[in-house]
Amino acid sequence: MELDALQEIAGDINTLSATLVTISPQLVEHNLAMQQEKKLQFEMLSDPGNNVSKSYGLVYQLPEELQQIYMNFDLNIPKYNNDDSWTLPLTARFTIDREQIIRYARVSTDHTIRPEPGDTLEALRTLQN
Amino acid sequence: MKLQKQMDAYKQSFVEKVPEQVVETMMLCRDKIRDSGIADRVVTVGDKAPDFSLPDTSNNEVGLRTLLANGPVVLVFFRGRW
Repeated sequence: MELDALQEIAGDINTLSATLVTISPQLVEHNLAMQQEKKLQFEMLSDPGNNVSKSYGLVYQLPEELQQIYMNFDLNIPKYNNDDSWTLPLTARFTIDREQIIRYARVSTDHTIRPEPGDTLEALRTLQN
Repeated sequence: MKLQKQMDAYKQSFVEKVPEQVVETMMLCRDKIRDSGIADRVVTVGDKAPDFSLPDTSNNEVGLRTLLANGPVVLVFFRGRW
């Protein structure tokens, strides 16, 4: 849902000479399937073991009672990620300037809360000026 | 529709579908993650963005520095397709 919304601003991001890129711990094949199904025109990177997410401070382990619920919903996360640690990144969005400095950060410990793409686009425009 | 409105609508239909006990456990877990203080440890505005080099959907390695050579980067972390 978030990725569909980001696709809608992908053109605007390119116009600003910026690159939109996603990171998730799922295997490359799952990123590829999503990219094709949703016709996403941006880079989708696979972060096995969440090592990059860790370096951004985003990784948490799903509580055991939640692992059980996910398995009951047939959401076999260890299989999607080829990693039995049940760790995931918080959902987060950053803009990074050419000097590699973070200029905008939206992080939520509740994955049902996401920033509006327009908010991110606005931050990117500010960066250009 | 705004993204958050879509998320809210999806959540509402999910909550109506699953047993109350399950919703309650999910809410408790959500609070547990929030209260762990993890958000305070996340990199933030003004920090240097950690480097990375990861495989894209064609299994080509893509590095942050290479991307930054072309301009700013919008970096999105998400959990998965499921």
